[in-house]
Amino acid sequence: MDKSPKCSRCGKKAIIDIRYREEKLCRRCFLKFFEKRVHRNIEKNKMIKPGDRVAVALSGGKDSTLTLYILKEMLNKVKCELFAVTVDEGIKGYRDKAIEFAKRNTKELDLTHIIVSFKEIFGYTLNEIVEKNKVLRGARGPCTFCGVFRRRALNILSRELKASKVATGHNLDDESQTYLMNFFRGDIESSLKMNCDESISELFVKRIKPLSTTPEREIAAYALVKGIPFHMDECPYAQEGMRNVVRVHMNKIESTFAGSRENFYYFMNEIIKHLKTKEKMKFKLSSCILCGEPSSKEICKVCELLKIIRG
Amino acid sequence: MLKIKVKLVDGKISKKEMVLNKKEVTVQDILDILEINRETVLIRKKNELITEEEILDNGDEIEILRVISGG
Ligand code: SF4
Ligand SMILES: [Zn+2]
Ligand SMILES: [Zn+2]
Repeated sequence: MDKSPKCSRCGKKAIIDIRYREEKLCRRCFLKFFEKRVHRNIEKNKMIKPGDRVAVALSGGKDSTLTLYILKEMLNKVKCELFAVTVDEGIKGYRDKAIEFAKRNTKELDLTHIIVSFKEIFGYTLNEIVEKNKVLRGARGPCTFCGVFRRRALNILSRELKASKVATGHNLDDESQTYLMNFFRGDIESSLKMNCDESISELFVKRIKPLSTTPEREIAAYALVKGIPFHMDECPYAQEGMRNVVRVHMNKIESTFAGSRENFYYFMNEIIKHLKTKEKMKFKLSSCILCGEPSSKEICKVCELLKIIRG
Repeated sequence: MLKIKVKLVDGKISKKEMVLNKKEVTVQDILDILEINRETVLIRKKNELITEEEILDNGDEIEILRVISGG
């Protein structure tokens, strides 16, 4: 007798437990559940419209890879252009492997794929930056340089390629963690800017996050079920950021009180929405006096970090 | 007594055999013993995903895939 837990919807063998919905789902019902949520997120937040030129920021990991597959699938319904861009930070033994997966998937989907490196844009690989700043940790750790430089590289590249949107693979875990990190840092401004649009600066390409309402674990499950190849290793620098601490605690809370993560995310979204309208918080970025890129300060974060690297 | 083979895929692969002095064991029991948070992993048996409530048979082999980066 098969004693496996059954799908709450159709009674077939369950492959995943969606505890925060109190549902166990079979393969077919899970795929449907997953796709419906992503499509709803895209539609509700008007992420793509006909005529858009969407650049997918493809790292080779599961999140961005699935973003690419899902958007590609949507091209049948919404007439827009799609291509992939990859930023090679220069992390030996990690990103180089991920890029192989990125190439494989763009080839499989028959999409244009453009790769640009930190070295080309900023003059240093991330490995070299870390090497030069050995003693620096926390706010000056590898992830700070990596994140700031990657966002800049993506913005420059997608602007040059005349993309109207940049799609990233940020998932529900990422977004909740970011909210919580900003919270612990007392950084309201960063949370307010998390989902800003192009009105913030003419030089800024709007970002969309189709997977922002999907838990990371389910993204992996979807990719496995569908047999989509992705890079699974962990970045050698991953342990060093505040994000890691926040992630562990968030997962503990979620495993004890299912649904906490989602509740927290929507709670923060609501707060941010109200703050934006009530306080008329409209950000307008000016240009960095050194490099001309959009910045909230006279000198942008990239130029500030470059100064640190150069010593 | 139950014998369960566990393959832990966590960047690298490690294998262990667990001998449990129990009549019945679920995937969740295994995760608890290994102190693995269910939110961070997916479980496969014979290449198919299974839920944490799945009851395992003597001699079963499961794969625990760490799918949440870091932590
Ligand atoms: S873990 Fe940090 S250093 Fe590694 S890719 Fe992510 S942001 Fe960059
Ligand atoms: Zn079903
Ligand atoms: Zn600058």
